[in-house]
Amino acid sequence: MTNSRRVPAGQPVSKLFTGKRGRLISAARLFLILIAFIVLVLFAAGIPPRFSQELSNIDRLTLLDIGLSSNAYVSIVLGVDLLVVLAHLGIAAVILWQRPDDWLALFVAFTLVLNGGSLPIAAAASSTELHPFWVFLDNSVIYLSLLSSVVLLYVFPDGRFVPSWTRWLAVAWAAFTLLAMFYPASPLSLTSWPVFLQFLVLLAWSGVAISVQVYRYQNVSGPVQRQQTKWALVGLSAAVVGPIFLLLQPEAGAQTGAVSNLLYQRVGPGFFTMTFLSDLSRSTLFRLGTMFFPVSFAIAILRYRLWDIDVLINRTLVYTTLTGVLLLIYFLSVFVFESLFQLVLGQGEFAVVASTLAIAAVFNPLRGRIQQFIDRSFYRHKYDALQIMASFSHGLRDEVDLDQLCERLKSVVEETMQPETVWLWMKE
Amino acid sequence: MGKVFKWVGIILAVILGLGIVAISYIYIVTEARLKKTYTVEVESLELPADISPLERGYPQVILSVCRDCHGLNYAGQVMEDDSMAGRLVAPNLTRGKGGVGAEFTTADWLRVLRHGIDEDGTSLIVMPADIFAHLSDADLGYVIAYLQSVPPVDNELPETRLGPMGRVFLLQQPILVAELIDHNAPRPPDPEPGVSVEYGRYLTSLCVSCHGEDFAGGEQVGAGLNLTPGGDLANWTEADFIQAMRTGKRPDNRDLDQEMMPVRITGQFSDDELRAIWLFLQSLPPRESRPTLES
Repeated sequence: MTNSRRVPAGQPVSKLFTGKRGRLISAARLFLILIAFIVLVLFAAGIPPRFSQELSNIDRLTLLDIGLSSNAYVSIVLGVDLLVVLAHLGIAAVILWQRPDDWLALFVAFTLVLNGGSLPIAAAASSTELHPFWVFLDNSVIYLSLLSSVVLLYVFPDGRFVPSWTRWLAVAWAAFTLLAMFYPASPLSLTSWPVFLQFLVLLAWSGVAISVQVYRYQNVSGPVQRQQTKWALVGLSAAVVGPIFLLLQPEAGAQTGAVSNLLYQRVGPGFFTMTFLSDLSRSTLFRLGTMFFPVSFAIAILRYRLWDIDVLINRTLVYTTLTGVLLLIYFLSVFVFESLFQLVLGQGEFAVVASTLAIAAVFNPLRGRIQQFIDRSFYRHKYDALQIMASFSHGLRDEVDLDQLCERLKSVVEETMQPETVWLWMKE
Repeated sequence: MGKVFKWVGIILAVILGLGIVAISYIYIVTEARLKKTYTVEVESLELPADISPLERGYPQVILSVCRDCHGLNYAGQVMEDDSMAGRLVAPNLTRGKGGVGAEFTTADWLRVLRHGIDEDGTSLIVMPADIFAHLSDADLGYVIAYLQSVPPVDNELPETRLGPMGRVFLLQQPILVAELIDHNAPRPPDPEPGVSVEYGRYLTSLCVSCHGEDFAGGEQVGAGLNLTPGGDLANWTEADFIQAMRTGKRPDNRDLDQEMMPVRITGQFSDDELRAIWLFLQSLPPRESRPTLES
């Protein structure tokens, strides 16, 4: 007897998109391949302008110091980008190959293809050397990438907008990003708004996406989908943490002046080599870090039962949240202590020390609280297994209908152990 | 298996312990140097009332050096910013918002330029005050008067700070300028401008940063050529030298690397000053060129 009350593994997980097959899905597959081809072409077209763009920003003295030619350095930077694009395309290809008839799988593959190309394509689009036609195509890919990423997070893993009002958020997001990409000067465009408003919008839409996944996990998803959601959340966490760390770097986005040779000689090559290498490694790690997103979604779609990563996911969720909260506390406390010390002592130098001590003091209690919250929200069944078993034993006394009893038994096994299949043999 | 884990744990703990000791040592040593305060008696200086261009180009050369870090409008900029190494900031020198120009007295300018000392008495980082300490009263007075006259530009900048790795570099590289200067040394007499070896020596105090104290060049990337007789300029004439400093063209028509030897600075010297420099360079004892990373 197979439990089919919830979507079983090995079957297409989408319900919204399942149904019509044949021509429509073939067309979708062709469209996906076409988009992948376009992304590759755009990446290739962006190489010459990006090459000169990167060459113009090079710190030549430092490259000489580490014995690397300018061309070799730029090739490394572009090579990492190519690696990321190809890895995204490769993962999308595997998903397409493994789940050719699953609409949601196709949508995930579509999103991955666009996501993989969006960063290098965006860098190329900012170049003045590129023909307006290519810029238009670049912006189209970036637009579709922004749109599909958010929509995917709203509909994953069953293809439905849950709660249903999130569809309107998706529509609003589509409008915002459309204006931002193609009519940046419009007063309705995000790019013409103050930075804090832009940040607020991004926070709201991504916050809803994460909340939607949590809501689904707790109220809608079955065991299989819950397992998929966990993988998706790992990818999401990595996707969120990477940019946060990049943004927290003081030099992120800051314009620094060209270093004169006099300054270089006085400070010594070591200092500039250090800054160069840390910058290079940070941007490389960020690029490679974007791979968490496709890998985790691919696992969620294809192999969600292959590894029990509950411990990893649990720790990832706990420490990602902890890092975010601690950073927030740190910055707020630096601000508060600095103002306070300035007011009382006339100097704010102790603010960093006080904030660091505050962080050290709250670290453990906070970690405990977050751990509790995560366990309560995502691992309830595991930790409540004993209670479930006790409740089942208690219920057995009143149950006289054999079919009902079987259903309840399956349900308990499913809830506590989350097996792929449940079979129940009974002696006639 | 348990033993393996135990030993791995012990090794990691030892490494961690040594790391903590090393970091503590670096922090304590560098903090003492960074926080060390200097008390100097800043001499008085009369500033020229007229800052119209001089016959002597040297003050303009110094101002070009200032612009290299503080920007074309002297409004300052962040030169380098890295969480591990640190942040190097060339402050806003104008009277605009965030600039030091509005509050700096002549004594403040002298404290910074001749002694490399900040308002709180600690050493400035990187600022080449050890070079400016050699400037005559006349030249330094002109530079200060000029800086006081530049149009105000609003530009608020963060402060220079050293990160953990920056502190390690501090142990290897003399970047605390106040440490390099003898603050009690008597002021050397002002040199007599002219085409002389002595005046050439005075004008080349800036060159030692790249070409070395003995002018034989350096070993690190970007270090200067060997300027001593028989060195890299062995086949050059005085005219070749002046042309190279003015146009950036070597006698063999190759370009001087403008990133390392910028004409925007050397081109400010007057002809007589360049002749004096050439004369001084020819008077140096010959030295062998040092192998550089580039070569």
